[in-house]
Amino acid sequence: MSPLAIAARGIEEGLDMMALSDHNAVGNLPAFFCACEAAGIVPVGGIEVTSEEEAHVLCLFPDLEKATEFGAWIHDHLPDIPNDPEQFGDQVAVDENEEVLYEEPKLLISAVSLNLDEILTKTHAMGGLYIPAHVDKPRFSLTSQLGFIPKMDYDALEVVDFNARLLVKKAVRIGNSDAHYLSDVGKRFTVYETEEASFEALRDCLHRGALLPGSRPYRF
Amino acid sequence: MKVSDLKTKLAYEEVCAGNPDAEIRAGYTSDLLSDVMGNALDDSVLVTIQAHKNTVAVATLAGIAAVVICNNREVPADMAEAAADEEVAVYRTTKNQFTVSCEIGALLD
Repeated sequence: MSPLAIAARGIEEGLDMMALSDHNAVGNLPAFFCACEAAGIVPVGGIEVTSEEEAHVLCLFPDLEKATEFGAWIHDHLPDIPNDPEQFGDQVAVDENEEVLYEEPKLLISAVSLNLDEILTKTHAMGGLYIPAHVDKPRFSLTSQLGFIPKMDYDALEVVDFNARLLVKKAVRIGNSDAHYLSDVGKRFTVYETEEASFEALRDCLHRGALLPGSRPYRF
Repeated sequence: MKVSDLKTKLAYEEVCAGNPDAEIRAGYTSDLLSDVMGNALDDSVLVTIQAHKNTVAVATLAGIAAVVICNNREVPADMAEAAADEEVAVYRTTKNQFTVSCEIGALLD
């Protein structure tokens, strides 16, 4: 699933804005930005971090530089467990022409030695958005790892089922495809009520709750 | 066994004394806090490597008297503060969860 192919699927699905958020890695973001910009899609640099609690958190950044810097910090906190490509697949970073730039030696599905709060503090300090991922899923979520959704200053909660029962009073929910395969791109999405597709508009919509859930075959 | 036995008999490092004279009646070993919350018994000692303040929140909800952090993991300051507020004892050790569970199990028998 190359950045070029992801952007092409984004056009097919009519997406205005897309975020790439590899597990604990940002190496494919430069190619993703190139591909999106060529396709007329607004790219968002993200990363899906596996916290010390083994809960997944989506961290999104205002630009490629910030996302890359944050990714380096995450990489520094990954344990030195080598990837076994036979078991876990190749962990490659590619350029905009789909040429392999390098192979990541550290196993990217590992948990980093940073807890949920430490990741939140750093994300916000860098102007990013902190969104606990698929919180209603029975694995790698706040709910599965902690048994509850702690009080913290998250920007939104990502859900698989928009109507999922969550033990939290008020929280903005968003739906994303969490696509691990090309066919899943655009499977779930969120419609943000804004005139312009930009990171700051996204932030504003999240904080105002100005959004609607979307999923195939419903399209605008 | 009493909470304080974790220090006096097993020589684990005390981070927060909690209620040292409280009786421990059972143990639970898990690194998945949702599992702990659903299955740990009241007045338990929790054996885990999950060294963060949410462990204290779960311990409070589940009626856990003491937490032993294994494998030499550091206890962050906010976890120690939460433990002091909630009177949950927190200890740490270089030993792993299996060894600690065996040691505590011998005292509970």
